[in-house]
Amino acid sequence: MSKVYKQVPFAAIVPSPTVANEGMVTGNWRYLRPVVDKAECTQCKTCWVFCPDACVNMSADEGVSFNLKYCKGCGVCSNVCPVGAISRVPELDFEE
Amino acid sequence: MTLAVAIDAKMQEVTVWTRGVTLAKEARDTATLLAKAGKQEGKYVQSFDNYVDLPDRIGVPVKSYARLSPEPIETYYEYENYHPDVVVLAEETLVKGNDILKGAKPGCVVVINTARKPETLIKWISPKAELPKVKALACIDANVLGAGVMLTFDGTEGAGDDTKIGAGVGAAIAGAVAKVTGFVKLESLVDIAENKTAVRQGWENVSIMPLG
Repeated sequence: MSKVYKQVPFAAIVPSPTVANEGMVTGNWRYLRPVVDKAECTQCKTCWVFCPDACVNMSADEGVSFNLKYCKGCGVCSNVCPVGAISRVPELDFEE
Repeated sequence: MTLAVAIDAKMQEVTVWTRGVTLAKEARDTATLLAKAGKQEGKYVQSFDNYVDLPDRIGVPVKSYARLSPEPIETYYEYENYHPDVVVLAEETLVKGNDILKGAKPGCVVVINTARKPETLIKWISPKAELPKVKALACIDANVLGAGVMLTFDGTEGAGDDTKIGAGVGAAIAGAVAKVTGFVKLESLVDIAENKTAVRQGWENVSIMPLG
């Protein structure tokens, strides 16, 4: 199958991801999973600001949740949380 | 590529999975210790890191390799172990989300550094199609063993590497692998490793669960 030269993607370029990049899934880097205590959480969005991988999702109904497909488990969210609502739990304590 | 098996039929391949930077040195120690011990027993050996994984970053799954053979190894130009006889996980969470059994040979052995029971870990091992090839699953809690067992933070590239070979948890894991597989003798490992207590305790404390 031949392609017109201009249609060939430039080398070493990953298409810009809109939501998620299937070529760089980083969830298996994590060995401590962030878990938010919804009762403690004040929805201040500090974790949302600091997450280096944009893995914190905010919603009006459900509050803070994490995109575990890409979360590397770096622990920044748990460190910056002003009320200590985010704890880090060993990954193997969860089935999924 | 199946070249390795075709040429070196008697070659035994050990793949050590680990976490980038924080545990990379320990996995390299495990692979190096097994290879050096094999060499002392007159085997032909190779030991190296996975080049594709480098440069590693903290927490990234990376691999170190060892190859042992009673005959001269002719596999020079394959830089990964495509058909491991032994799969070692230097950190327990690697069992989840990594295809650790990819290309494994029949009769493969899995050794995991964990405080958990082998039965609780088996459900995560992937790919599932390769699971019948696993002969035994062994668990060793290397992180708590022996006087002087420690974690080093020497990365794979660049950082200072001033600890001797087998000073940390890698030594205990190597002892466990030697007992489960019988590739090398305990005495030759003890001879080479810096932390001799850890090697012995790794050998003694490994819990083995036979499968299939």
